[in-house]
Amino acid sequence: MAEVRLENLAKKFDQVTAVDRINLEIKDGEFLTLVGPSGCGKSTALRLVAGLEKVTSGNVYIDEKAVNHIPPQKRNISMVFQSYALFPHMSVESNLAFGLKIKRKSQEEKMQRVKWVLDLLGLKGMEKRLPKELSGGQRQRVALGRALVLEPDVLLLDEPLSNLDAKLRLRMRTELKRLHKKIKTTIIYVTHDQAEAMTLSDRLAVMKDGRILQIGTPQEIYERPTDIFTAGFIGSPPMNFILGERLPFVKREEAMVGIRPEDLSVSLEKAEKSILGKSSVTETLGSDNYLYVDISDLLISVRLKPDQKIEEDQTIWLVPNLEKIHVFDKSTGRRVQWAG
Amino acid sequence: MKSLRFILICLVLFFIIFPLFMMTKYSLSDRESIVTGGKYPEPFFPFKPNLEMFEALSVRKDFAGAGLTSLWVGLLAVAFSLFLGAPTAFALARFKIPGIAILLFFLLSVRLFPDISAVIPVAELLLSRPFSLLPPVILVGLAHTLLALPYTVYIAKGVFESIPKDLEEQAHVLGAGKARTFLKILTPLALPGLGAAAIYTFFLSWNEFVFAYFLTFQGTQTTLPVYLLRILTWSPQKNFISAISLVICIPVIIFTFLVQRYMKEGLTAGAVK
Ligand SMILES: Nc1ncnc2c1ncn2[C@@H]1O[C@H](COP(=O)(O)OP(=O)(O)O)[C@@H](O)[C@H]1O
Ligand SMILES: [Mg+2]
Repeated sequence: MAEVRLENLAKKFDQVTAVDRINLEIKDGEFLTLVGPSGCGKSTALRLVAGLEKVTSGNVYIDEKAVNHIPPQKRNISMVFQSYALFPHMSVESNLAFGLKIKRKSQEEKMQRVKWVLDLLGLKGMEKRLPKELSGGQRQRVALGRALVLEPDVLLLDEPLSNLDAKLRLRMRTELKRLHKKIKTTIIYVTHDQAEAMTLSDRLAVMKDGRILQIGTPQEIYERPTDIFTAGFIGSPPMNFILGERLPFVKREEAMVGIRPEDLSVSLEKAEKSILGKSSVTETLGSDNYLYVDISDLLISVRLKPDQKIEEDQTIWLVPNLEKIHVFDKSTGRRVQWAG
Repeated sequence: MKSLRFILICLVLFFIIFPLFMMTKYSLSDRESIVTGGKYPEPFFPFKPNLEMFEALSVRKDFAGAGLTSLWVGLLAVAFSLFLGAPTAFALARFKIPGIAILLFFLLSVRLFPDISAVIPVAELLLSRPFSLLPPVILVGLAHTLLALPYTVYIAKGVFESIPKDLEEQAHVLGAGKARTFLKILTPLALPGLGAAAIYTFFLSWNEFVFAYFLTFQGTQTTLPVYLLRILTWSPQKNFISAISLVICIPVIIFTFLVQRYMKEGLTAGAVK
């Protein structure tokens, strides 16, 4: 177990700045997620921590020791690649034992640790199989097991669930969470899936164009996004954005107002501080129903109360929960204080 | 369409099988079946098939010697070209090298000229000191390495490119250094593909005539194709010469059948993940 600290870390490939001076502290035993759209530099950041890429500038510290010049094999980290990177010519057992062999563990300890991982991840009976004889979920678990068996200081996971089908992904999500509770290793997790990031992490760092926009607990980021990108990226269905001048009760020039679907309620009668609109289709997402509302050229999503039913093409009023609205500066995209 | 295809296949098969049939037929022939003196047409199959020619061959020391020479030359060519070609190919596959296109062109250049013109400078070099001090087996082996190297490099480059870089990086992350990664991960994965390159090189060497001839025409020790020419210059009987060529062909045919699948995998290793 260890702390990781990134200090003004940057990586340039020829013309592209993949990671742009990021600062981040990951606490001992923490599950931290780098989340952001594809191409924003998450993998590169992770590979910098692993030592698979040379830093352009800045520093990586593991337990307060600068590791910039230490090769990956000496950093006592483990990484699970998106492709799993199982060695195709080795059995599950040999894959799992690969790192232990290098560390010259005794035969007994090796067996014991491999057995521990097989039990932990429900892989018993698969020892002799080759990777190609495993299902996607099993491969994923072998890859995870191969990293865990070394008891690394830091575990790096690059979109480990993205190659699984939706159902398995959900199951592995809970398993990962349970696993982290049990082993308490420091984990840096990379994903482009905000829902995954929100459910798994202790804290998350939202990235865009190589920069970290916001760091915080899932709740902090959900409730107080510091900029418009984060606000729109986290949450599903995404936050609605309405120009400030269309909401006379938000007395601020040049504002973009963000309102989450659950912070709006539908009224069939004219209400104070509300937005006039016309109801459109209702969509069911699990247990929640979302109504889409036309307000001139904009489509707004609203979470309906349970049992609430709204016909199409009705004139309705949307009443925002004023305590929960987010106001951003239109030009900078940054959150601004707003006294309702 | 179907019948056309059938005819084409038959035609191709005919061209492949006919020479083999002729070789087999003559090598088994008795004297009356080939020396007709125009009195009667040559029979489709010998009157009294026999193995006399093969028996005669089996006791000839020079034939066995040429066979052994060919074998050694082939193995040397395989060893040299893999030893030089595989690391080169690995470097070409993994690292950005400026001017790589020009490099690959030069690598191929020996094969751009007809052998008969390429052989002159090569023979000139290998037959002068210090190379001329080496035994002919090594000289011919070196020449065949030169011929096989471009193919070895191209095949091996494809093989290494087909091995995902993730696997190497994963090995590093798990604690393996460069040497261990090369030995435990890359080598076993590349082996089938490199095997294909080795087989290709061996057959190239086994069949090669021009370079072997220029490098060995003065001495007694030579490879099978050149030995065949020497026998031909004495105008031997059809049945004797057929027996020799059949014996030269047989290992190639048997081996090709055995490793066909394996070879196909290796040659397309670059194309499929
Ligand atoms: N080896 C590389 N060479 C050149 N550009 C790269 C390389 N790796 C990544 N990039 C670029 O860096 C940016 C970030 O990539 P990456 O870290 O893979 O993003 P993510 O994992 O968030 O999808 C992308 O624009 C990508 O094209
Ligand atoms: Mg990525």
